[in-house]
Amino acid sequence: MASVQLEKVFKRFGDNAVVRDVNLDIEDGDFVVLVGPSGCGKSTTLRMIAGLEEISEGNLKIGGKVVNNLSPRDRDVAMVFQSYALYPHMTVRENISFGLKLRKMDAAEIDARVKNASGILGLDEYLERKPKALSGGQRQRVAMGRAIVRQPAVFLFDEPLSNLDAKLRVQMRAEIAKLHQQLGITTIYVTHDQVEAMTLAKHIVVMSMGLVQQVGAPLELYRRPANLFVAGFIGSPAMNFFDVEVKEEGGVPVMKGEGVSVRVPERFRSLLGEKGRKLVLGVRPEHMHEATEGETDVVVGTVDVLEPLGAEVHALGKVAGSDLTARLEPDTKVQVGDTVRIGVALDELHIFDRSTGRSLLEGVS
Amino acid sequence: MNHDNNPFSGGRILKMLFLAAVTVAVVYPVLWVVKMALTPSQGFDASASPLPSNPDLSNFVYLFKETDFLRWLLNSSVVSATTTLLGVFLACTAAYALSRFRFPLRASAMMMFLIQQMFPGVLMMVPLYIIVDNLGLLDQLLGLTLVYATTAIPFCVWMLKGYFDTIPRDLEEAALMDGATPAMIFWRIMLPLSLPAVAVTALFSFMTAWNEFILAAIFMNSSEHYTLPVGLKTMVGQFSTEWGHFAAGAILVSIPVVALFFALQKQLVGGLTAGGVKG
Repeated sequence: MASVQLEKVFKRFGDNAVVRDVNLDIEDGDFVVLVGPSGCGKSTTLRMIAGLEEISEGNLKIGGKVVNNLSPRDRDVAMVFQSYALYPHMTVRENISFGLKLRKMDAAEIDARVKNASGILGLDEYLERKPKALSGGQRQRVAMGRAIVRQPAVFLFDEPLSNLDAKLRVQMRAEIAKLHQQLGITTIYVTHDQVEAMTLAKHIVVMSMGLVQQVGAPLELYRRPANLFVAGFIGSPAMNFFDVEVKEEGGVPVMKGEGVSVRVPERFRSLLGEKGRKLVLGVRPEHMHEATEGETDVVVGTVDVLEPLGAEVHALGKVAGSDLTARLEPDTKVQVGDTVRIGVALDELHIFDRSTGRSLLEGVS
Repeated sequence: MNHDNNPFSGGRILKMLFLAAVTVAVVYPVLWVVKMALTPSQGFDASASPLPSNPDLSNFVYLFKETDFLRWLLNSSVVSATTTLLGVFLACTAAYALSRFRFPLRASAMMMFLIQQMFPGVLMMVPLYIIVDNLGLLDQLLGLTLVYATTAIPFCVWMLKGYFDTIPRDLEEAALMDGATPAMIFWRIMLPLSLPAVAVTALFSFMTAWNEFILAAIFMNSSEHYTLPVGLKTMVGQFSTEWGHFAAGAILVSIPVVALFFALQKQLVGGLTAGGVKG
C-alpha cells in the first residue's frame, strides 16, 4: 500500500515528447484511471510508473520515495498486461507463483497465497492447466492472480479488458471493482474506454497528446469538463458543440449561432466577458428535448438518423454545420428528414472559449 | 461432397502414382546401401535388385574387429557433442542479445554472420589451417571442435534470433515485473519457449560436425584422431574400394543422426508459445 506521485514527468523519444509535464498525486488506496485516445501517452505514463520505460525528466515517487532509478522488481508494483502475458510453458499455478518463487518465498507461504488468490478469482479448478487451455476471461483472471499474490504496494492495469467480448468485459469490470474494494491496494488503470473509466475510477485523469487535460472524480469531469477535449471525451453519446457569439436581445444576453439561440443563464452572465466573444456552446444529448411551442432556448436542426434504444431514442442530425445528437423520449413523433426544434436545459449548459478551448464555467457549482 | 472422396477417381490415382514414384526414388538408394552392407563380397554388385542374395553381418564384424571404427565413433561423438553444446550455448546467448538489446554495430554483426555464410566452406580451409596450426591444435579433437562450432554458429544465430523475435516482449516485461533479472528471463522464460528452435539448431550443429569430411581429413593426421567420415574414407583406396565395409560403416554412421531426429521430433513441431498472450 502506498501513495504515488508524479512530479513534472516527461517522456521523450528523441525530440518527440510523448508525455509532457505530468503532475499527479495519487493517494494510498485510490483507484485512478488514466483515460484518453490512443497515442495520448497514458500507457507510456503507466509504463514509467512500472519501470518498463525510463523517465526522461521529473520525479516518480512511490510511498514517498523517489524510484526513478529503481528496476521494476524493486518498486513493489505489479502489472496486468493487455495481452495477459502469461508464461505459456507454465501451469496456472506456476504462472501465479513465479514471482513469489523468484523472491525465494517459503513454499508453504506460496501455497497459501496461491490458494487465497485462486479462491478470490475462482481459479481453483484450473490451477494445473496451461494457459492455452483457458478462455480469455480465465486468462485475464490468471494475470490478475499473478499480481494479487505479490501483495504489491501498487497495482497497474494496462487496458486489461480490451481483448474480452462485451459481456465478459462488463463482468470483469465488476470483478476488478470488487477486488479493489476487498484489497484496498492503490490502483492505476489505463483504458481508452470512458465507460470503464467512469464506472471504475475514484479519480479520472484525462490525457491527450501527452498532456493531462483534467483530473477529477468521474462526476466532476462529467459536470464541469475543463475544456473541449474533456467535454467531448467524457459522456456517451458525446456532447454537442455549437459555435456561438453573445448578442443582446431585449436587454438579455443570448448565445446566437446558426440555428442556435440560447439565453445566457443569469448565474453565468458575469463569466462570459465582453459581447461578441467567440464561444462554443456545449450541450449533452441527455440535456435536450423536443421543444414546446413557446420555448425560446432552442437549436434547430434536421434529423438524419433515428436510433431507437427502447428506453430512449437518439436523434442524429445537423444544426447548420455542426453535428447534433439528441436524446428524445421513446414515443417521439419525430421522423427522419424532419426539421426539429430541440430545447436545451439551461442549468446544464457548458460554455467554452473558442480560441483556447477552455471552459468558462470552471469553479461554478 | 467433392470428387476426392472416391478412392478411385482419376486425380487420386495420379496423385498416388506420383507419390509412389517419389517414394521409390528416395528409398531405393538406401536399400541398395543396406544390400551392399549385408553382402559379404567387397565388389560392386550392379544388379538392380535391392535385396541381398546371401545376407550376413561379416562386414559389420570386420568394422568392429579389424579397424579403429569404435575409436572413430568415439572421436566423432565427442567432437559432435561438444560442437553442439558449445555452438548452441553461444548461439542462444548471441541471438538473444541481437534480438532484444540495442547496441552499436548490431545490424552489421547480423550482416557479417550472413555474408560469411555465403562463401563455400572450402574457401576458409587455408586460413583455418593456419589458425589451428598456430594454436597448436592440429590433429587434435579440440581444434576440430572449435572450427565446427564457429562455422555452425552464424546459421544458428540467425535461426534463433528469428525465433526469439517472435516471442512477445510482454512475456519478458511480465517476468521483469515479477522480479526476474535478465539472466532469469533468458533461462526460465525465453529458452523453454524456444525449445523448437533450439532443437533444430542443436540438430544442425550436430550434423555439421558428424558428417563433415574435408576439414577433418585435412586437420587430422593420425588414425586414432580420425572422425567417422575420415575413417570410412580409408576404405576407399586408390585401386579398389571395400564397398561392403564402406556401406556397413555408412549405415552405422547414420544411425545416431536418425535417432536424434526421432528424439527431437516432438520439439521440432512448434506451437509451444500458443496461448500465452491473447488469441
